[in-house]
Amino acid sequence: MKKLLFSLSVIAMLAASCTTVKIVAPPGRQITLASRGAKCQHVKRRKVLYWNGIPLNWTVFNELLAGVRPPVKILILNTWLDNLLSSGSNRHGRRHGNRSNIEIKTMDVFSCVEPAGAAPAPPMEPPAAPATANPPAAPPAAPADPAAPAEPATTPAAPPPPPPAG
Amino acid sequence: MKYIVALLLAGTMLFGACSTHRVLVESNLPNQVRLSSQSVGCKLHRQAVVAYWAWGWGGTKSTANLVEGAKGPVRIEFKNTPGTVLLNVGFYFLTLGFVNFKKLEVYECAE
Repeated sequence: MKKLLFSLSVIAMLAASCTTVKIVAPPGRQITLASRGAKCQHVKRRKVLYWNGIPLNWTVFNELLAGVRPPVKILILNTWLDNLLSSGSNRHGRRHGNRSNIEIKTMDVFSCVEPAGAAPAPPMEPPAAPATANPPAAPPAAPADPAAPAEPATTPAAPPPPPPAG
Repeated sequence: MKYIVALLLAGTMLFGACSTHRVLVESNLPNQVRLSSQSVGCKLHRQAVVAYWAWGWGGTKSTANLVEGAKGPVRIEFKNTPGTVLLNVGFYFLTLGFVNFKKLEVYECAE
């Protein structure tokens, strides 16, 4: 019994070690990252569900930045609800002898505007098509120089449909 | 004693349910770093083990310093590795999950 428990723990540990959040641009494109001083606006929120380290809805990684006007910032986090759901499902699994490990991650995408005086931006991407947008907890960064006139954000957030996972 | 342990575990789980591990993907300078679309391969540019205290209560880690100096487009990975899992397991018994470790890696890709 002890050996079995030990083996299960090792497997669970290895499985947990596979959980990886990859931040990449949509296929065939490159997207500029915003700087710390940029003024940002929330565009979309996506959740990735991991089962034993395997992303179940992995296409989210390709879709995450599609249609978002660069430069962008991305906030990776696990929300209170993510943790509650994943710990709840893990407890349920243990009760039934199933040692599966479920992890949920949330990714918020922000479209930003660099402060005046910044280097010229790369060519614009096609206009954003915001599919979902949840109100952000807080903007990721404030302009570095408050005296510099920041340009108004260009893409208004769309009304929030329900998040896809979690 | 049994009740104290149960209470501690319940408390840990409760706080664990509130924990957040935040990473902000950004750069230091405007229009300097681009994200690549390559999801595999690429050369490791810089990596860091990030530690979260108080169940991730405070602080948002930034990739600004990690992406600095990257010549090509980058891919960013936020993950567990066997090393960080071992660290988490080790520190879990010492701190009841108060400290958590994750790894942040920046890969430099070809143009």
